[in-house]
Amino acid sequence: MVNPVSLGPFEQLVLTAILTLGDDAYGVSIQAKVGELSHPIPASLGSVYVTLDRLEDKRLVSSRLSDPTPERGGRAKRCYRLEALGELALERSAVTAKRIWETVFDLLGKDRAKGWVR
Amino acid sequence: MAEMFVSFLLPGSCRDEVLGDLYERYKGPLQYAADVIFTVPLVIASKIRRRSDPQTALIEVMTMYLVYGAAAWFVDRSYLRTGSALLRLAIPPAATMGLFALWDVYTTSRRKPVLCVALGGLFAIGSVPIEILACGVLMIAAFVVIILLMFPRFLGWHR
Repeated sequence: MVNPVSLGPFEQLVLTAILTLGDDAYGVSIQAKVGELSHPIPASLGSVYVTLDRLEDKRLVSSRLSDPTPERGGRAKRCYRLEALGELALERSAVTAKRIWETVFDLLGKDRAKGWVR
Repeated sequence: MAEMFVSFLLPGSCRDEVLGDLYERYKGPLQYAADVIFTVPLVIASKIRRRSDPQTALIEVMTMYLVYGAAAWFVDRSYLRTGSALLRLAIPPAATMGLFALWDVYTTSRRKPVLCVALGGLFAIGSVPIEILACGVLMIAAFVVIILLMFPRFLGWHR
């Protein structure tokens, strides 16, 4: 049994963004998706890079360089992919978040808990 | 021009993708400058964290501090009795460690040149007497040479 890695909130957002974007997960697209997910709190490109490096060190994601494209000034993209360990860690985090949500939902009632989601 | 400057600042291991991402996000010079200011330092810090080994760094900095202390003992013992001498003696090892960290990030080599030790000593001119600095740098260089001769693969230092 693999010991799951615990994830911080920003790491959860970055992994969710990579999972959502699939083959198109690279710096700018991940930052845009994380910004969407964390709205109204913005996400900077620098913090996304730092988190991607950390996730790669933990072997939760892997990366490869794509071919250079003209819309990027002839520069390559570093594309990220979720690894099995990353999927497992994200799944554990999602299950925990769901459990928290259900507990809050039960304790505070449907109307009040739904008011949190905008 | 600005891109050339940013390219110079970025470590080679991530230069292409970061420049490409910044290019793709370009909306104007002010936005580009803000992106660079908030991105490049974090990228460099992240690469330093990835490439550095805290245990080795601690051994290196402690060894250098002890060598500078020994240099002060040999050259001018009265200096060690001055108020902030022990604190000031930490400046050259700290500067050298900073240079080592940058060296690790900006080169593909894991080997660290003794030149960094000399430059670290230069950063401390003014805070530590120059005779102590020179003696410290020479002692570290001699120490490195001895270690290299005894254990060629131990430190991975060269030159």
